[in-house]
Amino acid sequence: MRKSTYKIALFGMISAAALVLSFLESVIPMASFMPPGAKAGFSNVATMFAAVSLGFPAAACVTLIKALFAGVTRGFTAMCMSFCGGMLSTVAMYLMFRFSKAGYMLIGIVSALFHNLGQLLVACVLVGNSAVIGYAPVLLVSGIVTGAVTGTVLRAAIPRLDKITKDIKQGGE
Amino acid sequence: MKFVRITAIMTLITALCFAFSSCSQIKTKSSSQSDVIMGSVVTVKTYCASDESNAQLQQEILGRIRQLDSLISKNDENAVLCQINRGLPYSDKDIHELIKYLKSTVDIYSVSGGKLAVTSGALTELWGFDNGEFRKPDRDEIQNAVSLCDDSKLIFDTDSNTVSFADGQVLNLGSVGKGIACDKAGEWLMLTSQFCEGAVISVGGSVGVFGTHDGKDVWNVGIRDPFGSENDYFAVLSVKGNSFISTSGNYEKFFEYEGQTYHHILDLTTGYPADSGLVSVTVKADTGLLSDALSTMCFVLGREKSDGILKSYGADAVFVYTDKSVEVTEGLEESLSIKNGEYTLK
Amino acid sequence: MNGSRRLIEKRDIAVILILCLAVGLCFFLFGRVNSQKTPVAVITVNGEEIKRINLARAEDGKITLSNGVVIETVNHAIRFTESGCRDKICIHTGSLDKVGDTAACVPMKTVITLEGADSDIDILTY
Repeated sequence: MRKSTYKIALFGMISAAALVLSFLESVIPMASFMPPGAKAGFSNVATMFAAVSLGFPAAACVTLIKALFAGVTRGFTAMCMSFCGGMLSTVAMYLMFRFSKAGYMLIGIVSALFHNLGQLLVACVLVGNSAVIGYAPVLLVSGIVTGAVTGTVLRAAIPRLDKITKDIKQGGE
Repeated sequence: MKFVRITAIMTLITALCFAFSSCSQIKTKSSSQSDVIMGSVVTVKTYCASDESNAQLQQEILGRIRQLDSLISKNDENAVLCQINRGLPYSDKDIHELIKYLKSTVDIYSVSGGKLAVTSGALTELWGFDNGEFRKPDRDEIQNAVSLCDDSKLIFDTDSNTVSFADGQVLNLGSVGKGIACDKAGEWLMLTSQFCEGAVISVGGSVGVFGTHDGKDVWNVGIRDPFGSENDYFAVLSVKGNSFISTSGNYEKFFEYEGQTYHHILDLTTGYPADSGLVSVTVKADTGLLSDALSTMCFVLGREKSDGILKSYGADAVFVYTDKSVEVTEGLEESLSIKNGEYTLK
Repeated sequence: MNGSRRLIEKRDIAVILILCLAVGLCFFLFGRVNSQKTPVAVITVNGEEIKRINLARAEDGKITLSNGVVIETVNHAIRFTESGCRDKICIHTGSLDKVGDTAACVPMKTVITLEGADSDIDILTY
């Protein structure tokens, strides 16, 4: 299989997975055991995998697709929050994957934190004042927790994912 | 490895930023002290670098106000003004300052058509408003006292630094004393060696705000609700320091006699409490003396006659009527915010 | 390519601890301050202050803002009751009753923050 075909196929699968995970998140009532506004970050797993296996441009595109999906299903605000949070998060996670030897858990935590930070910034701009900063401590704490979970899930999934990518590569031959 | 270093450095920088930002606004502490001086509750709240600086500044200001009281009090036997009223000898030391206050007040009241005067003592003492023994005097007593309330009979001799007046006249700075006390506080704040960013003082309801507090330059001054209890306010004036705000209200000192209510703000031409449909007037002016004098004058004269006078002094006012309607002059329109729905802005 | 990276490296633990500390610091600095003061709820829309409510003196009531958001004061606490947003995060935040509590509806650009009551007035003139 040509490299480019492989890349496109993988990208498509990852994007689909990202959207499904996003959808799952909105279906499960998170509000009961998490602070309002906090997200479980399931779809981050997909973005992280994209960053690792396909590089930054692909991961950025996945983020873009996620944001558009949020815009269509949940409205303009959600799109802005998803885009800003997602881009900051993707940049941070890519840098870590590329330039550091940090473990998956730490990368998950950092990308979750940056995601929340990005969302807070957008909220400040949209709302017109910085009162939303009051949410910050709570979001940051939940970011650490969800990030750790995301990182762990990805690490656990690596063997399986490696197999899938190998299958795709071989599938073309 | 590089990443750990980068994170560590970033965390360090973030921590330093926090520390720096909290240091660069030199945080002042605030504390307040109260005392009863001039027959009023005086409260000084200061914002200085330390508890000691606060205490020191407060002591200094209260001390200055006590000194002022010993100069301008009409009721304290040892006060200079009291000595003057009784024709007793007095020390030259402070007469200069006292005459300055008398002249300023005479000047301001000169446009009131005799309704207000520095020589009001004969009448206010008759009604008992000064010593708390309120009583309703009879007609003749009032007529007699009214004839004694006449500033035109005052003669200021600049050479000998004396003031002379007709027999029976009594000089009274009661309607401006609290404002002057606020001025004193402001003066002292400028001279103090302590590092203080600002202060607020209330002398029996005459208020002075100076500088900033916690970095904020706007002070919120509540206006007492004339129909509510002591700590109720119906509106807030948001002003920057230095500002002087005084209120004259018919709820401060009054008594009832045979079904009628008599309050302490007297119209010196009639000899009776002023009746202009107002329950309170709050004035903001450039000095404490002005704000105190003008608030009394505007209460007696009413809105129409006051407008021109206020403008000439660059002062502004809030008028509250018996029906809870409120009028405010242009300069305070933006600063006034009515919090009690029963009051309506006209 | 992916197998060489572990879940947690030794160094990671130190970094994670630093992050936790930093976040904890945020909590202290920006979190509940002066919770003994009676709170004043400040409602802002688009960055502009619309209303101030002293919760200690507030009676139970409903406020409908011009953008359709409904806010209720119940038992000296305040909360979002209705909003035209999709996620209703603001409503799920629940009741605010302590100084520092915040709830926001970002799509409706409406925020409720609770400040200490002392910010009402600095002095009274009478």
